[in-house]
Amino acid sequence: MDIFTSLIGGLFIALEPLNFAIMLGGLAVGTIAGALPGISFVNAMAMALPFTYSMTPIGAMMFLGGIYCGGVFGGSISAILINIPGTPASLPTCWEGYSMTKRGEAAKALMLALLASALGGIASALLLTFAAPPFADVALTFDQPEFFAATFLGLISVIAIAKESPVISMVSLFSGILIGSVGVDPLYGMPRLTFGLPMLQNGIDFVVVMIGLFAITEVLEMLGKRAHGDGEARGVRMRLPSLKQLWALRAPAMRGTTIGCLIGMVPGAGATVGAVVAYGMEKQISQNGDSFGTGVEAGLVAPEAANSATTGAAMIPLLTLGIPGSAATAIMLAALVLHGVTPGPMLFATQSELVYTVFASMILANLFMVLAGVMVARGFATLMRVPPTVLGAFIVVLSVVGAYGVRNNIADVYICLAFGVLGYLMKHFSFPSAPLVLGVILGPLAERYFMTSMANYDNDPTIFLTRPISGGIMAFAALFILWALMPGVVKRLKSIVLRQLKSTA
Amino acid sequence: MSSGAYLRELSAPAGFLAGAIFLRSHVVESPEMANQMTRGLVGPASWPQLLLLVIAFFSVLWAVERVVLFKKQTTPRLATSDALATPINLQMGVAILFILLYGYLLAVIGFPAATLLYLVAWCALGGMRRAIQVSLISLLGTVVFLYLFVKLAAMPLERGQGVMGEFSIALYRLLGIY
Repeated sequence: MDIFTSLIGGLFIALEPLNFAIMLGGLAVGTIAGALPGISFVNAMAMALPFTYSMTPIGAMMFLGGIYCGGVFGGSISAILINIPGTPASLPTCWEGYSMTKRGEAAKALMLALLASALGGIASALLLTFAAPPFADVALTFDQPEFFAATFLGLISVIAIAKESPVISMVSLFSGILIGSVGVDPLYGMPRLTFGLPMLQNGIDFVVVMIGLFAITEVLEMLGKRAHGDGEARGVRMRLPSLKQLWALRAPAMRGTTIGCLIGMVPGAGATVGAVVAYGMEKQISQNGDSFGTGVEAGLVAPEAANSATTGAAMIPLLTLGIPGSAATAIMLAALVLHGVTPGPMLFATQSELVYTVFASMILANLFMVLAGVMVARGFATLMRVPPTVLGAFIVVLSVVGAYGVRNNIADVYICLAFGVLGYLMKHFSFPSAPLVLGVILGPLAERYFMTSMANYDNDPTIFLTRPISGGIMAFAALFILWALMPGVVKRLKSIVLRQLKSTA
Repeated sequence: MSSGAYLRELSAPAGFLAGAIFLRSHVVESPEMANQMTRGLVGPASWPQLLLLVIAFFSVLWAVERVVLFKKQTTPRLATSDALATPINLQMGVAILFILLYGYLLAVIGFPAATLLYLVAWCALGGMRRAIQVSLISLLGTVVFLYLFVKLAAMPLERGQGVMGEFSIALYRLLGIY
């Protein structure tokens, strides 16, 4: 009851005209930044940080919280409409959302993604409100082996994504992780796989790879299909999902939300792991699992709910322990510190008004995100009326600027374009690109956690299995692999037995 | 089954295997120094070498799988959304060339000029023949991109070298974004 009263108090403060306007401004900035390739919401939060100096601590947190919530969804707008994930967490959204767009269901895909995001975000904000302290205790027991186990779980979810060709997908995944390891080694400072090229010293950023593999490849494919006269209908039919359709998707949305909340609390795991694991799980659970990748609504809803559900959950370790679990929450920590607020267990006692206003603003931000999302998505949707040639040309320019904007480095543009051509060749030879991208995104995280675990625990690789939580996550990962591969193995065994029976008969 | 058919089937996994073997000895410039720094599994080259080992292992598995499937005369199915046959023809080759050339020209003649030229070339390649239409799309598109990224997002986009750098600055001044 005490929490409830505090939350109502926080809600009143959040609804004060100035605070509310600040939050809406943050939402708009975040959604637009998230939707523009290369300008991620983290960049937008970093750019917005100086503007928070003149705000109150509550205003600053509401502004940044608005950008955070809006940005996580914003990334899905470009993922659905032009196959460019605005944020790494929007990667699974490309797989299903863009397929829906190609079928002429862009508006439906956007609306489903938006509602799933809002649901995930609100559930996460409620979790933040009511369960922050106990969950913080659990998060406190996490060390490097647990972080590695969580990242490993994200990586192995690729088995579910491409279980029909697990071996080739593994080659693709590990090639991606290898690409992620290019550059200066994080522990020793020694260049690896750079072949003396200065442009590779800083490593290959996953955003650059992602833009190249998805956007540039898509443009080339668009051109190729147009030349063959089989271009898709690209118009946006404004047919929104019915209530019945929404109700049918309640289970994937709830599953995605739960996974997002659980993974979001693990510092470092974040929205990308949450979205990918949710997608993999949904593919396993869904009756249409085999159709995933062709625009299955459940495959869009689950990761969308999951990536938004990580927003509130990621703030649990920030507010209760002072540990930022992601780049976005690190910026929020900076904003708090700039305003003389020290996050940690005492924050709830000394600054309860601020804490509960932040909680309330997260709920409000996710509610009003629907409005901001619809407005930004409508603006973006006009892109779909543009002729494919012009759209393709603009996507290439956006991709180039997006790649350049990652580090203001022309070398990233070259790498992006090279991956674009590589992606086209991969498609031509039917080599899966999704596991490679996942490897590039999660590989550096996995390496950092693996190496620090080894360094901290006497080079003992069994540490991942002997510690209760990491062992539990690894066991879950093993079960997940078995679960994903079992149908294929059973099918093969059956065919072998049948063949032998036939030959003996 | 001919040896040529076998070779075709095995070319991709063999390529990955050969790449993994080659890269294992080229992970760092000084393997001796890396070895001295390595303690157990922790060292500057340990992680990439571990990955290369795994890639080599799966490449062998892949090769075995291809041979088995080839003997059964079934086409191996690949990943879900990626399994699309895409054409490679002259137009595609030109498109790839345009994209790579655009990337190269960005640093040489700057973002405004390179983008304008690229948009004109791409529209022509895509079959747009009306000069006014192509010019308008290219010009307006370039100006919108400049306002969006140079003015609003304050991104230091490439201006080009020498006289092209000066041209870019003059254009920025003309547009009121510098």
